[in-house]
Amino acid sequence: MNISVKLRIILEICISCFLLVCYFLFCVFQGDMIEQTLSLALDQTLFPRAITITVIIMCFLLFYDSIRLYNNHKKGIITPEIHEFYECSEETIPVGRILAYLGILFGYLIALYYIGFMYSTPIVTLCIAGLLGIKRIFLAAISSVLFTVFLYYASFYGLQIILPGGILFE
Amino acid sequence: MIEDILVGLVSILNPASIAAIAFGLIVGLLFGSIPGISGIMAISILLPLTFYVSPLVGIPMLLGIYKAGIYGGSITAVLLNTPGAPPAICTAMSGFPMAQRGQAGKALNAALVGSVYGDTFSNLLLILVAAPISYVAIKIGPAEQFCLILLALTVVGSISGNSILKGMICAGFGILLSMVGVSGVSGAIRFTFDSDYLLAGIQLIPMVIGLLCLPEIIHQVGTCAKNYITEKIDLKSENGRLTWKEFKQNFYLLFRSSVIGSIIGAMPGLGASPAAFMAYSDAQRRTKDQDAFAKGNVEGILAPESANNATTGSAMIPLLTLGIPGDDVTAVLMGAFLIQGITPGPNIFFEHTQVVYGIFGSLIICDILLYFIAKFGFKLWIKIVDLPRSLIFSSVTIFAFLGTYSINQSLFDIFCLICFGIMGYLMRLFHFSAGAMIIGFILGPILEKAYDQSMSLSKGSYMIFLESPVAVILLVMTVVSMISIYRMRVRKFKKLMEKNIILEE
Repeated sequence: MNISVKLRIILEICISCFLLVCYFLFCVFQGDMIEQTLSLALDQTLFPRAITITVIIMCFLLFYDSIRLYNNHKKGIITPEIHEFYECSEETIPVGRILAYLGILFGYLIALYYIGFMYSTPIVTLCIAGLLGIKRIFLAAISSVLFTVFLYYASFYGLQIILPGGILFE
Repeated sequence: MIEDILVGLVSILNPASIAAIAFGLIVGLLFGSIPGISGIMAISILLPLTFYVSPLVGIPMLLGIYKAGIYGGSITAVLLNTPGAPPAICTAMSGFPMAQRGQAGKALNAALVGSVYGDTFSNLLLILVAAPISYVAIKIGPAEQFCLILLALTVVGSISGNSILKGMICAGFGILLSMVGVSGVSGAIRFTFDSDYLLAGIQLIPMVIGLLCLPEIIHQVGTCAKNYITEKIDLKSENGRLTWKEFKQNFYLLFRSSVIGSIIGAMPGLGASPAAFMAYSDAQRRTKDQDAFAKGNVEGILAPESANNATTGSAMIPLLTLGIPGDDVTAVLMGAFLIQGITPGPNIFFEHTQVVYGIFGSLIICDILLYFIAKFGFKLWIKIVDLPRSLIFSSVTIFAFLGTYSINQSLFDIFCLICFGIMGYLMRLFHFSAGAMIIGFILGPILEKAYDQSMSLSKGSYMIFLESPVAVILLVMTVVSMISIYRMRVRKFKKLMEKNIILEE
């Protein structure tokens, strides 16, 4: 997928709007999210609120900036930001591969919980290597198993870290 | 005090510390010599290891990675014309043409000599300058510290790419994230959304690995980088090494470039790339043989390499004396200090004298070992450049998970790692600065603590920030820094606009 310059500018506007709304809501409901345990003279909401308000101002300026970018692009003025967007628009984003990688990461997290480190790691290593275009699968399979066993025992004996064993095997 | 200094310097001469430095250097060289992987990725992955060892083992190891990672970037620059790290761009400009002429060995040796020279120079500068600065800095109270952190936060303006606003939003988000959990000052429970997992706050390590390491792997998965073929490289003949005569001829060039690198490195936010560019252009201006320089010669390698490595020692000056991390690498190093219960800043020289001088000693050992490890491992680094990407990035993913899990042995941290990884990739895609967010996250609690203490001392009066002359000077410096960053950006913007107009025409 390629993100065109126009789409990128529109996305910039959307992101700044999204951030503005999020931080505004965060600022409004901030009082409810802070539970003061001691009765201090100093208001504990003051510092977070000051930071949030500063960020809201920045988000507003970013929104204004992205609108300005949109107008400049419409008029055909190439500012450095727009020039950067042109360069980026040539990059292809392989959404499928990225989603597959993220799927593997979440799958690994779940697998660590259920089947543990020893069984899930060789599979995950192979899946990622496959995604990156591994050629010698058999060699990769053997090395991923050896790599996992090495890591497991190195963590256990070297750092006293017990890696997840998986609830199915407990 | 002198006894502590001597004990500190001697304490680094133990097998564990030296082995840790050597390990750090090897890891830094391995990571640095792989295109697409930088030293900071290695630092973030190995950061959790420092949790299990003493400060004089863990921190020198990270310093070893930092220094070797910067040099490692020049290996790919010379062999593949692919700078392993941005500061090695100039090295590629001179080194790759040399490699094409069959002088790859000479170029690699020149890069190594330049790096070690620059490193040693800046380390000696750090050792000489840091303690006197800390004697002055120790006099500051909470109000001054608050102003100092504000000044430190202006570094965000320099590292946030084209949009300073995005950098500030990221830093603000980092500060807010640092507030999650139980407040260290008041005990207030903040932003936990009734989740027990968030009571302890968000951990630094999943955040650092997630924001710096995973986005790079996601990017590499997307591009599916190909392998490279390296020809057999001569390391023995005249073309394969830097001769003593060449070293002597370029001694002043090395000195000049190291001075440039040290000065730029000590200024927060500038980093190694501008140092390398400045030293390269200075060498280009002063060279006697413009033609040879343009075609690629040792001068074009020695200058940028000594300058970019000279930033590593001097970047520690603001970190150790004032607690200001100059860039994302020093921010992560600051995290390593905090993990060990050591807060970088002027007090470090009085509270942890032995540790600081032990670290100083380790810096010198780092330089000596870097030279020998890199020199004797040339053949190995050349082979590493050609390792299959599939093998490297799948292993790095597992290391990232393992490193995150090892801190609290909690799967929630791994969940955070993945979330930060996704966030980091999106931030990279839309040019938001992950470094600014990490700096905000690390400086946030210190800023808040200084603010709370100042307010308690002044009974809620903001005049405390204007009563102390040091605080006022720091505030003025903050404003001046902001104005100068703004002016620099306007100038850069105008230059780029002119360039764009020329390109359009």
